[in-house]
Amino acid sequence: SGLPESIVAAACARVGQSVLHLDSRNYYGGNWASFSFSGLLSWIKENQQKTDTSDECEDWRKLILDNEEVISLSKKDKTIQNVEDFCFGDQDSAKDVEEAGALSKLPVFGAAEAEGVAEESEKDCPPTESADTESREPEKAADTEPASAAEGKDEEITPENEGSQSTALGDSTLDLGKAEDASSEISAPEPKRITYSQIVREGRRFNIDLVSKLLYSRGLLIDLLIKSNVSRYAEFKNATRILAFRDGKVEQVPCSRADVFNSRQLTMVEKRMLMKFLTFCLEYEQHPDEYQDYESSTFAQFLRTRKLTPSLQHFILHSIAMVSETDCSTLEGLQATKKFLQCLGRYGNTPFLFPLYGQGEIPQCFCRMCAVFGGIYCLRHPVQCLVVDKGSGRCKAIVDHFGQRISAKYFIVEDSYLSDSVCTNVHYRQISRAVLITDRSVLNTDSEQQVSILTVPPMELGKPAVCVIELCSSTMTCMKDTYLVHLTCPSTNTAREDLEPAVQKLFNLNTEKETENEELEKPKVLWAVYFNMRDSSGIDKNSYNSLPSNVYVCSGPDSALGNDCAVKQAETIFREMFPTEEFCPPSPNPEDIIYDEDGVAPEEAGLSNSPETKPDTSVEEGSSEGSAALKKEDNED
Amino acid sequence: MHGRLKVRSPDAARRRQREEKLRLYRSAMTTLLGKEAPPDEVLALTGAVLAANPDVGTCWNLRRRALPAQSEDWVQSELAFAGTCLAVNPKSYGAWHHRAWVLARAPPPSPIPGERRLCERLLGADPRNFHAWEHRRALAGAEDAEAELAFAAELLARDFSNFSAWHHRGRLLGKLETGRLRHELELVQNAVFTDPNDQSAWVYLRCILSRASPPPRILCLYVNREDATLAAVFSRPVLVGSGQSALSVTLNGSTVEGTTWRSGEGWPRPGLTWLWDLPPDPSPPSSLHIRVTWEPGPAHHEVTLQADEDEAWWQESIVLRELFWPEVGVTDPEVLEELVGTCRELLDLEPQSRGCLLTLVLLLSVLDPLAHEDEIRRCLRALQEADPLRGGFVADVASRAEVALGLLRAETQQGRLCLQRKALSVLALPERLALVTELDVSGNRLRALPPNLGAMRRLKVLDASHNAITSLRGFPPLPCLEELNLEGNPITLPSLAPLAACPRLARLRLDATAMAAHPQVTSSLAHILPGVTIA
Repeated sequence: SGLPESIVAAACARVGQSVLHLDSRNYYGGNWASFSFSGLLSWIKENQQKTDTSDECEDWRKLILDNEEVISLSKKDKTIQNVEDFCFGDQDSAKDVEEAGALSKLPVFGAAEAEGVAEESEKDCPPTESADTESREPEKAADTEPASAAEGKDEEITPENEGSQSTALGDSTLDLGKAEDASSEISAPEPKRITYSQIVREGRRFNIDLVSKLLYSRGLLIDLLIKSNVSRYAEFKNATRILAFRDGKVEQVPCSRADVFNSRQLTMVEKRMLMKFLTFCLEYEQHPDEYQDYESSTFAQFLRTRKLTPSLQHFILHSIAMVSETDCSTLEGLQATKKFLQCLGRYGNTPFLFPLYGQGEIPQCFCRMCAVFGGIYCLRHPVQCLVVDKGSGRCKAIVDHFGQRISAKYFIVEDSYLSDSVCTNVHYRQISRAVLITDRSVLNTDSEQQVSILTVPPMELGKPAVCVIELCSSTMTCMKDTYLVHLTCPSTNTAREDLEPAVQKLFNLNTEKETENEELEKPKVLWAVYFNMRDSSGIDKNSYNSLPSNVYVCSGPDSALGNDCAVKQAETIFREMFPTEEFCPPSPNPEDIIYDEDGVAPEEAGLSNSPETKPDTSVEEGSSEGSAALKKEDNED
Repeated sequence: MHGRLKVRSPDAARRRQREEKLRLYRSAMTTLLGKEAPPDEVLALTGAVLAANPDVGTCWNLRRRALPAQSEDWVQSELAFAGTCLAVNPKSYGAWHHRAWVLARAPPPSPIPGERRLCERLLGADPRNFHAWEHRRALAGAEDAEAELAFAAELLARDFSNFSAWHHRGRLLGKLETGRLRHELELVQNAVFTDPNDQSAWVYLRCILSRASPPPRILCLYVNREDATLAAVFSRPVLVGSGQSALSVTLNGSTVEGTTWRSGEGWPRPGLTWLWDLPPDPSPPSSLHIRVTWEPGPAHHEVTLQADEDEAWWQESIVLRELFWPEVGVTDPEVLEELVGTCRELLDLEPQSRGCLLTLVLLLSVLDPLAHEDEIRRCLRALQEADPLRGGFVADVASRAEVALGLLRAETQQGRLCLQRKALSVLALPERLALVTELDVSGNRLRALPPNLGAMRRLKVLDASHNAITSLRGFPPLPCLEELNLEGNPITLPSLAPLAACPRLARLRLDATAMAAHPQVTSSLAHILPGVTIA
């Protein structure tokens, strides 16, 4: 139930089709899902083991008629590879810590398994410090002493010593929580030291996305959310700043009119030149004489001719257009810049929105819409095969893992369910991903609550730039006093090889006795995971071997920052299936819906797979936090 | 599992809602406008109407009539009610007015903090809600200027294209010392370099530069024995004989009681020139020492008419920097020079920016028009091209600059002044022309000769040929005017009537005017202006 499938499902249900949505996983979203911390640990463990469950029960074969043939579906998800996780804190102390109120998304690796996971991943943890911990004097309830936390620059603070761990955990957890609150009030300016056990205990505060994307505020997904009224199921926060990484330093990029006005780093002339160039980009089509001499050059070369200082060139190329220095043409660069600028000012001073509780919310919103209009959802429901009629060549039915045969007219399959035999001609790209939990922002300013996007230019020419998205706790994706950092780039190697250089530039990976002062300035990584995800976007349907015409393939996430690819794909599939129907027309307001039979209110009819009870942050109350509900009208006078 | 759903048409539902709203409104208004209802009912009914639509002025009025009769304390609840109405329409004039009315009746403690929060909330939603700015200014202006300045700065940081926020700042700043002024100028600089086309910062810049507007003062005294008048010419139009300011005369050492002044422009309204009739002159002529005091200003000016003189005058000499834009002339010239530098820098990048061109012209004209003559003309031409919609305004600025240049070049402000073919659209700075005897404004674009030419008490010859003058309506009675040239103007006969009030007018040239062709013109003119030779 990834994003394109969910959109297609919602669109079909909306126009009155019966939709059955099956997912072999036990969570919504596929590779678009987000997890709590323990959920992610379980996901990591599952993807590291990759046990092939070969239950070759062939009972279902007798359901297949003579004039039918079978396209088997893959039972094993091969889209995730090279998963490596690291903990930079004291894991031992967290051995017996449980996530408060844990309800794991993966039942096989429940909360009780957290310890096992921790032990296992410890092997990957380069600086093993268990010996260190044992030799250290027990620090009693260090968290209640902010002073020691502040001084102990070179020591990990352990909230519970192994020995004193045996007391009733529930109570002590509660007490500690209170003490934390109190201490954070007193010592507000000092960054809090968060320990691994706190992360585990507060694991439910995390909503860690497998894909890291933002919504362009004038992108296709926003338009679709608004048009279809699906936006009522989600809340968003504006990305608050655009950052650049230049000469080893993180700087804020002035990109909106207000930013340029307020900027202290730009000279007056730079302000004018930047505004002038950006204004030109907004309507570059009307001034072809300005750029046509450079159409065959790269955008970077074009920028050099525009009286822009090096820092402005850097800002525009890497942080605004976000394109490659070496192989982006002038026109592509202008287009990208224009897109960025057009998105400014609709919901705020940056072009991006981030969904509260994570990107994983978005597919679920469409699932909910589908369910409201009669769609049926089954998780943990693998499918054995597609059944194809030999005569017509069309797919007639599927057989599920219970051996149940289900007939349908149209079949939408996510790429990862297709078996190797179907995909022999398909060449996949890969996305390199890293997720870090850090203790402070890459750029500290007056406000702690920042949602930042940062492009790290390639260290060597020809490599892709790394897109870094740093989320603060008010996005509801991480616990208080931590930041969740997503790194993404198209793969050239394993995720760790691709991304670790950028991580090292931006963050402090040392756990002990930091050597240089410079390192101290950087945020500390508390925990990290790297993995490669298969990028199955942009694959022509004909590349798949002998798929019936009424089977449609949805790809997994692509490496781009926005979601246009998924929306386009969903709309294309829907239009092929139902050329005469409208794609996601506005859904009626709840008060306008009349239920014939049992009068189920739409709220109750919706699906929610997340056991968390989400605090209700309504737009009116949350306006100071900057959360925004999507509205059709732009925010204008 | 789920019931099949049907969808009610939202249009139908909306229509029903609107009809219901209308029905309620009509019934409530019928009751309210009918016989006098008891206050409680008035409050309930107006409350219902206003909550739906806060713009029904009648209801607010009825409420204000009913409220004082309430026994319990109604101020808080009424403030809350006005608040909910403002939530419905944050720009409702009625609701804001009502709120101010209630606040004026609020008992202590001061409601100001709450009001400030309300304004903050509304301005957060719409930073340009001028009602909220006005409300804030009215109640919190004087309280904590620094905090208010910071508040305005914060909203400007969100979007500097906000005239209200700039205005709020401008009103809070008292007299600007150079340091403060520099800070404000930096803000303006940030804004204009970010977006030179946004006029708000340019307007603010001109406002803060011209804050110290000097009070009107006497620029010239002129006494003429034959006409038996004393003329006082002011730096700005004033109305003598009203209000607290008074113009008093001391003649040969003794105060003249009950001086009556008449306007030199022909009618009693604010004007530049005011005339006092001298007391009957004993013969033989004696010398007159006249001292004029303009209160509340402390300064007095004196003029002495010797026994053997027909006329005498005193005139303030021109201070270069205070001629063109007197308000700005007092600003630290160093700051102005810096600003000129900034404008030139910006103009290099944005040669079309009208805000910048105008500011530069004004600044250069203030600093030294003679030294920057070419640059001023160049900028004005560029401004004409860049801003055709405000061509008239630019032409007026250019005219003022040309007159100032003419005056400065003429060295003395008397005798002959030639402003030929300067594309003048208006005859600016008449207050400085009081002693000119011959004025040549031919070949310009003047459409009228303004009444404030009444300052020109000594003018003998006025050449206004080849302009676009259509009428002489309002032309002042000039005592010395002997010759007037109106050649080549589209002027009509009836509008020449005011010339009859010029006692010495002897020659009038009307060649190539619309009238020249008409045969009866000569006879009609002879009737209106007997004793005037028409050419």
